[in-house]
Amino acid sequence: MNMGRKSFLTVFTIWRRILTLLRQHPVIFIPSILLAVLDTVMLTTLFLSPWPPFSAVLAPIIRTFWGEQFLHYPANFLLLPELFSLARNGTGPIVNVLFTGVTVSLAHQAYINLLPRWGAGVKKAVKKYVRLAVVGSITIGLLLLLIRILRYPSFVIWRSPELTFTIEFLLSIAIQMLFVFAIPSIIVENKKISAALLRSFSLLRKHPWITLFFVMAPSSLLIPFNYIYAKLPLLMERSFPEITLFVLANHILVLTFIDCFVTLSATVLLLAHRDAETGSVIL
Amino acid sequence: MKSINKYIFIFSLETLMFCIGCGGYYYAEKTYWHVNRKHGETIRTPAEAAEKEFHQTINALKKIVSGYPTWGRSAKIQFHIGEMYIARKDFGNARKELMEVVMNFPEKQELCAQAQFLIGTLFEKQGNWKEALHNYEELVERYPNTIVGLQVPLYIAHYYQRHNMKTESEKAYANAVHKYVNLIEMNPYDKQVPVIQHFLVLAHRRQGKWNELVDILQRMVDKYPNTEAAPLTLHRMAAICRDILHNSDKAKDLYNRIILKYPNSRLQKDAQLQLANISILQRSDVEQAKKEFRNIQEKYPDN
Repeated sequence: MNMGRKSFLTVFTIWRRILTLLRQHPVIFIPSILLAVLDTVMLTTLFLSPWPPFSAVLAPIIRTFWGEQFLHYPANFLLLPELFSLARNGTGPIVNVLFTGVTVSLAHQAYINLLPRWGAGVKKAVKKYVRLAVVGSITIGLLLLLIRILRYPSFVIWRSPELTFTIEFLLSIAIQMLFVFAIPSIIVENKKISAALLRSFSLLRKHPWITLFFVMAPSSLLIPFNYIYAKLPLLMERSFPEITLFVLANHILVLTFIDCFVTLSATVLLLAHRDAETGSVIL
Repeated sequence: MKSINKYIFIFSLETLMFCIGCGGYYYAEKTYWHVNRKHGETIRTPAEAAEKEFHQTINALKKIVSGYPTWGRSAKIQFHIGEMYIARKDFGNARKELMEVVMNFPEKQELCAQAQFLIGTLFEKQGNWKEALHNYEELVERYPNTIVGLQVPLYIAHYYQRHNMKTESEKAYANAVHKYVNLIEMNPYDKQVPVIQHFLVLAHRRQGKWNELVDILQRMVDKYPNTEAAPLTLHRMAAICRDILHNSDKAKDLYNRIILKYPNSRLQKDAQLQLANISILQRSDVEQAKKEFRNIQEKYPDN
C-alpha cells in the first residue's frame, strides 16, 4: 500500500473513530460545550461594554486604545470582532488549554475502553495545568508574533486584505500543526514541556499529510468569517449593525466544532501511533 | 437572614444600574441611527422631500428629542428640526422649534445663541427688523461670551452700514466697541480675551478707526501688563502701526517691548523677525538686519 493512500484512509479512520467515541460517550463533548458557553459569556460581556457595570472596566480600555466612538452605536459593533479575538487570545492559554486537557483526558479514557469519568479528566488536566498553559502560551504567542511581523507597515506586498487573510490563515495552520500533539502528549504520555514539544514535532514529521488534513479541513470553515469581518461595515449598512452578534455567535459555534475535532483528531492519532509503536495495531 | 437581604439588595442595585444603562444614551444613538438611515435623504435635503415624508421625519426626530432630552445630541437634533423648517420656508414652525432649543437646552449656550440668531434672521427675512433687533439684543445680553454673542453687535452695525444708515451704524459700532472693552475689563485674565480683541479689531477696521484702536489697545496693555493676552495685544498694535499707520518706529518700539518684557512669549521669535524686517525696509540697514537675524539663529537654532 503506498503512503498517500494509507494517509488518506487513516484520516477518515481517525474521524470515524472520533464520531464513534462521541456517539458512545457524549461526555467528551462537554468541555467544548462549556468552552462555547464561556465564549458566549465573554462575547456578551464585550457587547455590554458601553453599559454599567461593565463600562466601569471596559470603557476606559476601549476609549484609550480605539477611541470614544467605539463605545457608541453602531461603531461598537465594528470593534466587537477584534475585541472578541483579543479576548479569546488572552483567555486561550489560561482557560481554553484546561478544557482542551479535559477533552484529551476523556477521549483517552474512552479510547482505552474505560468509561470516561469527568472528575478524573478534570483532575488530570488541573494537575498538568502549568505545562498546558505554557504550551498554549507558546502556540498563541508565536502565532501573534508572526502575524505582527507580517502586518509590519513596510511589508507593502501584504496591503491586500485578501492576501493577508490567506497568509495569516496558512500561518495559523502551520503553527497549529507544529504544536497540535503537544497537549495530548502532556495528558496521555505525561511528558514535560520540551519533551511534549519534541513529540509533537516528531509526530508531525511522521504524519505530515494526515496532520495537515485534520487541522486544515475543519479550520477552513473559518475562511468565510474572515471575509465577512473584512466587509463588516458594508454588511452592517445593508442589514443592521446587530448582525455582527449573529456572525460572532456562529463563529463561536464553528470554533467549538473545530477545537473539539482538531483536539480529538490529534489525540486519536497520537494514541493510534502509540499502539503502532507497541505493536498492538498496525497504523 | 441579614446576609441574604444584603445580597438581594446588592443584586437589585446591580440590576437597577444595568437597566439605567440600557435605557440610556445607547438606545438614543440606536434610534437616531435608524431614523438617519430611514430618513437620511430628508434630513440632508428637507426642501426636496414630500410633505408626508417630511412630517414623518420631523416626528421621528422629535420622538428622539422628547425620549432622550438629556442626550448630548438631542439639542443639536432640535436645532436641526428648526433648520429643516427654514429650508422649507416654514418660518413660523422654524421659529417655534428653534425656541424649543433656547427653552429646553439652556446649558448649550453656543447652540442656544445660534438658535436665537436664526430666529432673528427669520424676522429679518420677513422684513421685521425691529423684532429681529430685539432678538439680537436679547441674544447679546443672554449669551455675551459665546462666539455668536460676540459677533452679533458687529452684525447689527454692519446691517446699518449696508443700509446706509450712517448715524445708526456709528452708534452700533460704538456700542459694539463699548461691549467688547467692557467684557475685557470685566475679566482681563480670561482666556477669551484674544477672541474678544479680534472682534474689537474688526469693529475698528470696518470704520477705519485705527488710531482709536491703537489707543484702546495701548490702554489695555498699560492697565493689565501681566495678562496672557498682553504680548498678543502689543503684537497686534505693532502690526497695525507698521502696515496701516506706517509708523515703523512705534512698531519697532512695540516689538522691542515684547522681546524685553515677555521673554517666554511664543511671539518672541516673530517679534525679533519683524524687527529685522523693519530694519531692512526702514533704512536699508543691512548690518542691523544681519545682527537681528543672527540673534534669531542663536536663540532658535532648531528652527
